[in-house]
Amino acid sequence: MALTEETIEDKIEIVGDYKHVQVRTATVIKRDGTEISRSFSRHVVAPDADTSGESAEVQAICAAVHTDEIKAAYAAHLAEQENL
Amino acid sequence: MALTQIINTGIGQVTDIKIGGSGSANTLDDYEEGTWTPVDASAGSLSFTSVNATYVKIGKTVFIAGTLTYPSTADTNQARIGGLPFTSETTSPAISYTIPMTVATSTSAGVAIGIGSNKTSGYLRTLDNSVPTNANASGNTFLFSGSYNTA
Repeated sequence: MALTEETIEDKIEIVGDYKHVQVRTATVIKRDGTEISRSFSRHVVAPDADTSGESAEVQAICAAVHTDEIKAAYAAHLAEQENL
Repeated sequence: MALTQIINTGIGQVTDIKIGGSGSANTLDDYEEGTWTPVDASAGSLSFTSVNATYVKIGKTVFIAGTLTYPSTADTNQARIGGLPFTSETTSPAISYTIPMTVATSTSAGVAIGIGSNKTSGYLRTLDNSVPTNANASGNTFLFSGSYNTA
């Protein structure tokens, strides 16, 4: 019997006015190649976030959707929502 | 309350449950549970310890709970917690969600996280609506739970 564990980004979504990139990371446990467990963790990449620690796929998506226009609009939104 | 419709798309997976009616407002189309990692979202570049946080998302509402400990710091930036598992909803005007927090290692009380719209973080706030600094939170362990709507 062989147990294996792998981590995959199994869902990447672009949501909201400012194109936040929501990333779901799944930890998958398999016994002899058959999945027996899947658990999730999540994080969100905002337009002003440092993407250097993200996967190449997430970096590419962020580069495509987080345009200068979106970044500027998001910065203005944050300024409007000071302390929130 | 009647369970009126279930559409299967595969073994072990149901994607569309309608409860009490057949409209979109009766549809339970999402359920998920998992973990997330609270991080310092202020300009203080702090590292929390004893971090443990979970979420349960039902429909568009996500329930979060967790604990974190601030490091010892004299940083005067406004305390802000980020890393939320989902972006808060898009609303105009903005709705602020308040997540109550218990301070486990201080006599201070009445602290909350205020989350605005289109955000993945929130500022700490006291009940008198002041915004604590990282120094105010220094060394404190916070326990919190609450909910907000997602984008």
